Amino acid sequence: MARFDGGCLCGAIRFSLDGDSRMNLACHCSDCTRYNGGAPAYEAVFERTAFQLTRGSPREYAIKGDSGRGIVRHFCAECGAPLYVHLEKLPRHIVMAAGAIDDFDSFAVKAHIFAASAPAWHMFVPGADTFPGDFPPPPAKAS
Amino acid sequence: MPEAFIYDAVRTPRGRGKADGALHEVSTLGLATTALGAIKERNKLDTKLIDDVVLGCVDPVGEAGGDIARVAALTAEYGDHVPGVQINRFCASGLDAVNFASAQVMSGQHDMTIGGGVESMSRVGIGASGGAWPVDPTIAIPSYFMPQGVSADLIATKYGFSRDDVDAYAVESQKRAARSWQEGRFAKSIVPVKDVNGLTILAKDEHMRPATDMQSLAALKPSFAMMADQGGFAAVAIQAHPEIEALNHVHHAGNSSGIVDGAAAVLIGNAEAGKAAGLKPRARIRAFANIGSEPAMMLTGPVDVTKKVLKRSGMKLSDIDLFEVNEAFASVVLRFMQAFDVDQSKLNVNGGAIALGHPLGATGAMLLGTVLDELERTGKSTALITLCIGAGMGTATIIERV
Repeated sequence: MARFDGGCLCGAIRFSLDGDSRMNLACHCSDCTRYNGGAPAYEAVFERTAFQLTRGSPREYAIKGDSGRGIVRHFCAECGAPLYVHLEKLPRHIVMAAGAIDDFDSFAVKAHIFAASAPAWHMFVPGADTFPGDFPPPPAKAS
Repeated sequence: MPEAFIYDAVRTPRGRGKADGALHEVSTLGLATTALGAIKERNKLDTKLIDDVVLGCVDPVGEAGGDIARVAALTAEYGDHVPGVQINRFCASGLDAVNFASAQVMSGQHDMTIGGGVESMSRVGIGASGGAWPVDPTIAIPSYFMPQGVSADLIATKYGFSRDDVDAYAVESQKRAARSWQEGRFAKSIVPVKDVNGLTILAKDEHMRPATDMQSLAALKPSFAMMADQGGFAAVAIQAHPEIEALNHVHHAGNSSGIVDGAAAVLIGNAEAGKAAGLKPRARIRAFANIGSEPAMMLTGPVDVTKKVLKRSGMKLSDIDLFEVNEAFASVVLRFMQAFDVDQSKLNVNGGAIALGHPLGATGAMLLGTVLDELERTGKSTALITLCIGAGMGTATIIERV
């Protein structure tokens, strides 16, 4: 099982991750673009149990997404670096800012989401799945 | 490096893998002996030339255990000197047995070998040999173990295949298999299974349902929904693949591979051994490969291993005339076509395991024989055979007519 360490820009926050990323993605939605001051947000999705804070306490910023479901963004109160996101739709997972992980190189993008919001000049990662919006919606419950 | 040539390929018909299936009365050994015996008889083979017999068998316990390849070589009267080895790479065992037999020739250590496989699913039930993955939490939990059918539904969900998509694929498989039997396309390889008195027990694949249509399939309920919901595997699927929010359960008995009994054998040798046997090579083994793929998704190995074997052989997808992708579940084949943009007119042209059945240890060798016959029938040159595999693997072989 892999182990990763990471933290914010100023070092006030450090964390560890025990486990493998379940999905590496680039999110081009307008919220992520605004939050990160640029697009896309490179993210790595881990099981929430894999995550442990080892130094400091991030601040939180809670909003509702277009779907109406909750999004809680965690960032460093000192340097403002984005760290991770809790999504109401993924209660068992934590969406890490991949750039906050020391070994950023390990998280090659597998999918682009909200690609329709990407600027025209953006170059998508070859071979990655590309979705105009979010991942395909859940199917209707089987009868 | 010596080349490995294919000199012959045979298979039994596939009998329904139930107690009332035609081949239930035939032991695993009897099935394997039928295939090996046919190779010997129809080629008038001097079995002194055979260096080894490699047979796949996925549940090698009870009557199928104890190295079925060696005892089948004995009962097929190959002689005491012909050894045998049984291998298991789950659903690709039959193809990998051919690959192992080919590797023995290509390494220069053997001159003529047989690869193949056998499974009597009506007599030795699927899963009879057990295994750690489903039951040992030290591997089941970190690798996101799920039953294969749930993984097949996960593939359908992730890659966007609807119930209509998978059902339409299944209908086409049935149509193609029925047409192939009507036109005699399987005749070259089929070896009827006979009883001790020489009376034919089964001469034709027994699992097919040629009258299958979209309406009849629509009446079937998804097979894996209850397992996923009540067994907790739906939650496992989402833990492993957070990009999906819920599983779309589309697979059922009509668009999944059938449980059947059967055996197959492929005669492999170098050029000199073929001459010594007085045989003409039908094709060469161009390349083969194995790969591990993500265990939770489990059944997407054919995509990964196809990339690998093409790279290994220096070939492009467009160099392949025909594809055989085992129809373990419809979504496996649909994903393969989607990933490579392969036209269905080049893939599983004689139907597949949805219609014909999937005798686990033998299927890979059967697919190779079927596509070789089809290459010869149509005058085409190259084919790629690939199967998805339990626990997340893929095996592929490229053959080329000579």
